Amino acid sequence: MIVSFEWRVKLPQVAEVELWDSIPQPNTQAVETPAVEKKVELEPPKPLPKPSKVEEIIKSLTSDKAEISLKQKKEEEERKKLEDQKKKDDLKKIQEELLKQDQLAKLQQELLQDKSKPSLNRHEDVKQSNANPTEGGAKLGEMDKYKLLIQRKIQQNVNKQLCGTSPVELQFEIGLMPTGELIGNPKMLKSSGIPVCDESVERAIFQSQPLPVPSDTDLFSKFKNLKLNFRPNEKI
Amino acid sequence: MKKYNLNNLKIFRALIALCLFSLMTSYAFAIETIEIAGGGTKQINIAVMPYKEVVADKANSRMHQIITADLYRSGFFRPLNVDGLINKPSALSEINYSEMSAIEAQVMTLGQVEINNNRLKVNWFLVDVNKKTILTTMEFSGPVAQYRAIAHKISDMIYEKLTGIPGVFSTKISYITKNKGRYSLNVADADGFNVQSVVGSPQPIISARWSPDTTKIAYVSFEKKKPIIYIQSLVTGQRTVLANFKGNNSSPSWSPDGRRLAIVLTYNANSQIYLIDADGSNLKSLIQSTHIDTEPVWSPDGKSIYFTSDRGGRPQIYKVSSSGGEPQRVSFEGNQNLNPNVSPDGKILSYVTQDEGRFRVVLHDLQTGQITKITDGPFDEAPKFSPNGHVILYAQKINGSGELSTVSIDGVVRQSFNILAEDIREPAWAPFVK
Amino acid sequence: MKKSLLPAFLVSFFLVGCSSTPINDAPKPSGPSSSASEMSDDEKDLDLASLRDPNNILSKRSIYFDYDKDVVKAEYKDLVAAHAKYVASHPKAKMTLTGNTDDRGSREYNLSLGQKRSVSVKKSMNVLGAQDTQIETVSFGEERADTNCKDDACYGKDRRVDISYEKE
Repeated sequence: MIVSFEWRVKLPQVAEVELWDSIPQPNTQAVETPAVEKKVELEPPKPLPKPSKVEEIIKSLTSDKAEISLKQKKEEEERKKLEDQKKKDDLKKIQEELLKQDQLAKLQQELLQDKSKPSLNRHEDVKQSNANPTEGGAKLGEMDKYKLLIQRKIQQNVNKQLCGTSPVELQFEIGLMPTGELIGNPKMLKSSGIPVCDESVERAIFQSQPLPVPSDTDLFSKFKNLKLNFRPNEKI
Repeated sequence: MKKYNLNNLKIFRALIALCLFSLMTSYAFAIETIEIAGGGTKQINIAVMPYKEVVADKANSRMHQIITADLYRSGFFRPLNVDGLINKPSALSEINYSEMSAIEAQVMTLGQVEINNNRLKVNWFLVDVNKKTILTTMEFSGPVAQYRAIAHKISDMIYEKLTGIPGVFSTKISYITKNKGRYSLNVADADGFNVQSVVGSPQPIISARWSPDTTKIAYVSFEKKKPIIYIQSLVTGQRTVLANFKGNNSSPSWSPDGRRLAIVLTYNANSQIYLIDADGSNLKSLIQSTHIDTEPVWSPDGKSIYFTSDRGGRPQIYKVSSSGGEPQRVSFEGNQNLNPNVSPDGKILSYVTQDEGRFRVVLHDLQTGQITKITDGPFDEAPKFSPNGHVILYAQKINGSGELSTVSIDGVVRQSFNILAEDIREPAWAPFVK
Repeated sequence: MKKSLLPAFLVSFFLVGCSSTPINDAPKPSGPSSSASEMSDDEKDLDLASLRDPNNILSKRSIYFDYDKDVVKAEYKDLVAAHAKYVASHPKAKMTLTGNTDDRGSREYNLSLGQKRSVSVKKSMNVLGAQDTQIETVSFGEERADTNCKDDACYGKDRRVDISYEKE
């Protein structure tokens, strides 16, 4: 007769019983300096087009030329200010670029060696980056680079087991500090319709702190608020 | 005068338009959108703190171990190693959230256990580490004998809160052992503890099945040198013979309402499927053929019966209306397919396939037709769904003797039971107690 | 280990329901056998001596089958004939044919497969005059199989039908 019973519990540091996908090599191609300089040109000061449009509107609304010219002068001054600032920033940027490349390489390394995430599924990551037209690294815009890093980091932490099998979509808005940490809680703009899925994706966002954000203040301003669109059941 | 005022008004409007326009466009340009498809992780990180045991006699901290084992086995959780932490909170005020975030905990559970005069009181919390909020809290009390039952109830609540699925940690399983030539039908907790022998015999026992209300178990016994079906009450220990017709009587399967069973009789011919009332009366033939028809199982809605038949040459899975009719073939892949079992939602079948000489457990999605092999073999058998449909319990034959294992249906976590017996076979999982 | 509240042995504590419900579309089930012992009559009526004689072919009780087959092989024809004749000429004799299989596959399916073999032997005996009323075909499936088999020489021993008699 059976005399005793023992439940064998394995409490893994790393969940060795899980089924792993093979860990593919990351895209370690360094960003070339010339490309960075190009990028600087590609970044138009976005507010600039507005004044010309506004000028037209003002023209149509009022016939007071004095007012208009005053406005135009003001806007031209603004424009000059921005351009001057831009020139100063250019120098700063080139100086910082070397630093950033170091940081980027470090970050990529960290993501690779991240031991606390044993169920890493980098297969999906690589596919995603390959689908990205910026494959090869040479054409990566600075913005796109950080967006990709953020996307990868969060994606690794999304647990889609709780999101059923049909295609679902979620959207969150987050606020970030220059450190990459969240300001407050993520704000859900669109629910998946499955409460445990919403919670799971929100946890993934929290889990991904600190998010990789640029240290350059100008560029960071574009990352202060982000919208995150999730499609957890999409096959990549 | 008028003209001036009109001009001012127009300018004012223009300025407003300019402001709004620049605000809108600056807003639109400032919020970047990032698309994130797929998901890279499969588990929730949970820190299970040792519940502080405040006992009249001796501290024996086990509750967190039972909870940890339950959550790990489910496949949905990654219990983190908390042994190295200096601060192990047992009250909300003691939580150091940055420490919890540092070990990558997403949620945590902590609590206190008081034992006095053979009575037990447990206060526990499930906490969201990121938002620093309480997700669930409860106080349980009961006799000390309910210690494990309370731990399992806590696991159930944690599991259900975070996955939306009912937990199976408080359910029962049955299995049959062979030890030194004696057979025993045993009933135990879903984690294998609290084993009780229900029937003992020098002859084999097979095909034990729980009644839908979990109070009875039907099984096939060879004690009379031929297979006979018995129904035994787990409450009173009394048993009755359900079927002892000429030839074999085997493969009992309860209807979802517990009023009837599908059984297999042979008389002096091949195995055929019959329906019979639970009191042994009203025997009716379901389908008649000259082939082997066996292993009937009801669909959860009671409308269909899946079974194994060799009418096509080798054993395959078929489906027939529970009121009889023309069977339709269900399995088409593989040399042979046997031993069907239906998920509680009726959408998935599990059965055993012979794949290049290996007997492996597969899941067959009835809606998409997709087949997924979830065990490797070479001799896996008797797959049974957990009552929540997320875990498969099955038997493996290793070097001639049997062992029980569970695998989560996504294949993420597999575990063996460490039962001390020569040979374990024929597991079955009791449904939820209603 | 908790002591079971329920009986550990089968010989006591059970109610046997007489499950002989009449069925229209199947042969009548056999009731429980009479336990009246008439030893001397049996010796005479059933010629137990022949059944027990090691030199008599009737003492051979096993028929072996090829893999996945239920056809009685030629080498067993004499054995089958001997037992069939015995049953035919002794109206009080009750024979059980028990089918067996190796342990590959599911238990219930193997129960059915073993049954197929015992039915096959029965049919051979029917042809030689043995009546169904005197024969019960059952199966133990894989329950008596050698679980350590690695080759067909071993598996082959499990693929058999055993002949036994109520009184022997």
